[in-house]
Amino acid sequence: MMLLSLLATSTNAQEMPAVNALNFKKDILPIFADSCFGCHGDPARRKGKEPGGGLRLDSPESISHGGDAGPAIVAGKPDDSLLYQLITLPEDDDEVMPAKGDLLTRDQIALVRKWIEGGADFGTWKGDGNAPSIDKVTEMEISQAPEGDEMVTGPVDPDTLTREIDQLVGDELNRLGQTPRPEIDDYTFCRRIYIDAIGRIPTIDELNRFIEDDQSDKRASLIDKLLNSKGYNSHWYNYWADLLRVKNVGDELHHAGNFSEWIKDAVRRNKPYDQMVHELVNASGKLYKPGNGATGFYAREKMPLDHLANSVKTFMGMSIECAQCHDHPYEDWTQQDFYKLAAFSSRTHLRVDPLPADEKKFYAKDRSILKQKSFDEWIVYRESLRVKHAAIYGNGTGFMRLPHDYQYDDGKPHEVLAADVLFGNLPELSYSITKEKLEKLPKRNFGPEINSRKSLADWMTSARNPMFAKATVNRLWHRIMGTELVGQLGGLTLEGMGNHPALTEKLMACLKASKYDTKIFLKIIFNSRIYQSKALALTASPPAYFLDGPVVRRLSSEVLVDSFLSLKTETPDKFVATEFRWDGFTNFYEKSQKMKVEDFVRYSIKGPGRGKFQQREEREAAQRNGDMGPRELWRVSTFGRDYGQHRVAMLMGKSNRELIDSANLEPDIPQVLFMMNGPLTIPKDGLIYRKMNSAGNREEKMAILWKSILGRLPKKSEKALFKHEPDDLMWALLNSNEFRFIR
Amino acid sequence: MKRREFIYNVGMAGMSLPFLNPAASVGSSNLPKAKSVIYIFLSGGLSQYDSFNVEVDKNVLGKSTIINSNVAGIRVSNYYPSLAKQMDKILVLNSMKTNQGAHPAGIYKMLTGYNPRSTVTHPELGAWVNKCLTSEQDSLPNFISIGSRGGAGFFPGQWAALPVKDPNKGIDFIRRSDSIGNDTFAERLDILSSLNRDFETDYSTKETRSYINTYAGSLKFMNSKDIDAFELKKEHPKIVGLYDKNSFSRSCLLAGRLVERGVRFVKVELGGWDYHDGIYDKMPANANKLDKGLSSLLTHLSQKGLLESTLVVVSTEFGRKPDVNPNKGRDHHPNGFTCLMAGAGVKAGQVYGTTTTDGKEAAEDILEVNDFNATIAWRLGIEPGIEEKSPSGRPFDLANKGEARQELFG
Repeated sequence: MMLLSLLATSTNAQEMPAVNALNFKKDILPIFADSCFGCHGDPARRKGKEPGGGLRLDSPESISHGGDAGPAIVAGKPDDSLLYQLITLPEDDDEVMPAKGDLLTRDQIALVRKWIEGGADFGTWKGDGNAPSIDKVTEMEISQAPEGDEMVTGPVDPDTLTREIDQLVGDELNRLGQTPRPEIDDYTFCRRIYIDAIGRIPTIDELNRFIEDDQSDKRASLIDKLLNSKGYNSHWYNYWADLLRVKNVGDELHHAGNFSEWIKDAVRRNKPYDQMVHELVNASGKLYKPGNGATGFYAREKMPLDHLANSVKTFMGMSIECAQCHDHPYEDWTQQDFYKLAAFSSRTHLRVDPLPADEKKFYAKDRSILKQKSFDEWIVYRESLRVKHAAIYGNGTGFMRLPHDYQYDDGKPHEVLAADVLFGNLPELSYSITKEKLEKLPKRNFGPEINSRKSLADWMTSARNPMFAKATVNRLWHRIMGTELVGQLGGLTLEGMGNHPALTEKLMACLKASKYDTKIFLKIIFNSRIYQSKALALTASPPAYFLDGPVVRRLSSEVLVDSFLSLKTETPDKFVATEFRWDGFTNFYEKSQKMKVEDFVRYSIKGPGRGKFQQREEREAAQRNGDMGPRELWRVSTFGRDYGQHRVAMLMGKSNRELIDSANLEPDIPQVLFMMNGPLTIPKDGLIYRKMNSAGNREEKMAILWKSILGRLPKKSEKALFKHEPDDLMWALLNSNEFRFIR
Repeated sequence: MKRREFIYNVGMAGMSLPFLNPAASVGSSNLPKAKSVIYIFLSGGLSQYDSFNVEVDKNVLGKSTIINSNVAGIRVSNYYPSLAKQMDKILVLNSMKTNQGAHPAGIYKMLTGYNPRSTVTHPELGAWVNKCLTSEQDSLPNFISIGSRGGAGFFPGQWAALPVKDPNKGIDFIRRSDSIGNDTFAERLDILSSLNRDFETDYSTKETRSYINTYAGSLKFMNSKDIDAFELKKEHPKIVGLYDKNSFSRSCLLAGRLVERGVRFVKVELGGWDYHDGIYDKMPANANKLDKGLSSLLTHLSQKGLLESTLVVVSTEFGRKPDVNPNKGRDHHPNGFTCLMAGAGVKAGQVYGTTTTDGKEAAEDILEVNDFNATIAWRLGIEPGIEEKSPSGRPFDLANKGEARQELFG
């Protein structure tokens, strides 16, 4: 622990008589410069690293102000001056300064003592280089855009923004002398927009309707229609669920709450993305309370530091997980930076059991009796109580402690750190205890809760946080264009703006202007000429500029599987949920609200029994959900929770949602064997067969096959294939790359 | 999403294998004594005191009784009469220790050597072996998992296990459906190549070609001469007759056939060991499966002369507590449990390590999971410290700093 208790009150240097004063610049400054500024100098010269102990010694003001532990110098009183105390500690003392390099010589120490005794006069010295400011100002802040709210006046005009994007890209192509890509035809557009907006290919009827539509703005109308359809809710749920790593089995047994339902609700309501993220980061309370599913974001994993690293990667696109255990090897993040950020959400945790006091007072005795009596009854008792009580506790104390094995010189194991952000403005925190006081408390104490987690959410989602918008446009662009606008989804930097910074900036502005309304943002892009350009097959030697349209890429697993629905039925989105769906645990949670202590005992002894506890609740939940339609007509997004994994989707590379971005678009043998030899599950009375049966001649039949599966008419060169049986052709079309890839 | 750089060379039947790793590059100085590993994983947590660690206080043994084996001085519990006759082939490791006490984390630790994290997933030992030992000549994938999956972690997906759900059926969809004749299938493939050729002229990318290659590889795999390794009925009746019809036994038979064809790492899972209650009612049936299946496998491998080159490993995520709880079950116990090894020159007919006689702690020659994994890798000729980088550039070594316990081998 620092020598905080030894600190005397600060005394103003100017009040002291300057007796026998030395020349600061000549006698003292060289000592400071050689031995102190390395750690206590300008952060700009230390890759932004904060000065040790918050103390800077490179200007008169900062020396007087001192660091986290208070003033460094008490003029006239060397023995009361922290600086002097620290440079005179024994060599083997952990606190001795300088922490790095050689200790001061006796002569140097004597000079410093004499200088302090003499009133610590700085003479004409004004500071080393740029006078540092006490406030934390970084480069980021200087170049910051105004708050989104200030910036947007009047309603957003998506059409104008679309034109501006096309203009920017056009100018860049011009500048590079690169020919613009051709515009796609209606067939290609129709298939592409169905896939990107609602996650499946169009049915043949949908395709025909669009082709036959003779309105000049039919593309824009289709975009609007799809963005406001149930298919959109299904497709974009899959996207957020992957990004947020929704798991239906949590790490604490199987308590994950209603995370997936919460996301579905957010997509249905088109909740602005910044609000969505704010609610996630700030979530707390009961896990199974309907509507409180955002808590699943924390229930999702046990380890708070992993959770923080994942949150930063998810919402800000940056990888800081290295700094969890050591200073980042090639970026500026130090382990201290990481821990300071972790201070915002410190002590946030999932607790599944009742609070200790309640546990002891109400439940412990019965629990113990049941455990001695019957394992099954005990399990039902424990789990039913957990469903009622499981909750996210702790809204952040604003303090963190360095790990027990902290290895650097700028801090000690278990040392208290106050919350700080990686860049930008530190949000205000209402501490009720000082760092100094907390330092004196046992090392497991992190201080009282002060809702600092909310401040973290504020900072992350602020329009002033350049990384939030940047990471979001980078992800959305990647989702619909297939390329990296700015950089790797989880590997962005503060400085990087991608290959076309003006475009990145424009898209960030679009996102802010649309107030993080994903639908408006997508609408802006979908209507653009660049989105409606021929897809590029990205090769080892791509053109100089390829942000002028989408690239050829494999359909995601869910899109691939859901596209089979478009061959089976006229209404592939019919069974997408329109409201909250119950699961067994949530059903029981509701019941448990009225249950008293003794009711839980009765329930576990006379209730449905261990095996059936969950099944009965699931059955009741299913009844509440009403008719969900036949499973073979569900979209992949309907599976999960009580309804299990979609096995074919897993085989096709659906993310297991253990890690961010872990959906897989690579082929493997089991997948290909399934496609070649497995059941393709289109019943003989499915849409595509009915259409073919009603066709007049072979030519028409073939057109139906091609339009249904590939979304286009057969080419002349393909007429040679017409001699084959429709079933053989269907097999080949479904196995073809053209079906599996978006072009 | 193109998360990882992917190399696709279709070098062999079925798998898209970048060929690499001539044995020298693996970096180990010892001559490999094991060509293959059959890794039997008992998920749920084997009770060591009701199986192979019986030299403890009597009250620790619960209802189990002790029987002699064919090795003087080695006794086992009464649930393993067949293995008792084969203990001369087995090395018992009674001092295993792990730091994980819950199933998912314990299984993860045992199979990968690492604690589970949510920022990275680690490859299973089988995936490391697959990646390190696969060569161009191999006709079958080198990591096959029977009854469960085998994850590649941060490695490209091609190093994951080829899964076999049911040993009697072999690989899912490996044969074309019965209604499709040879000619029809050929015709379909012709149409497919014509469509793909056409698409390639406009939209050829690494990813589209990778699909074309994997189709070619899958077809080769379907037609491979070694594919009959998965057909148990092709085995000599004398060998088949060693096994009963139980699914675990059939999995062991398949594992034996696969290592005979040179597959490097075959994982067989037998679950259901998590007896928190009624252990003496429920466990005997499962113990019987293990007893029969494993002893048949050992006989099978010896008769075929494969035991010298095959390391048979039996592991579990943790053991069970020395005291029987009020529900007549045993709870999780990571502090001292039992695994087995056989074959590949292991010191058979011996016991390595002890627990305290009250059964609470591993005592002598404590064997941590990381050292256990290092030992298996080392015996295969792989340097346990071999490193690979995760997509974010973090280096991870195969054995998570574990060291091979070479003294387990003679």
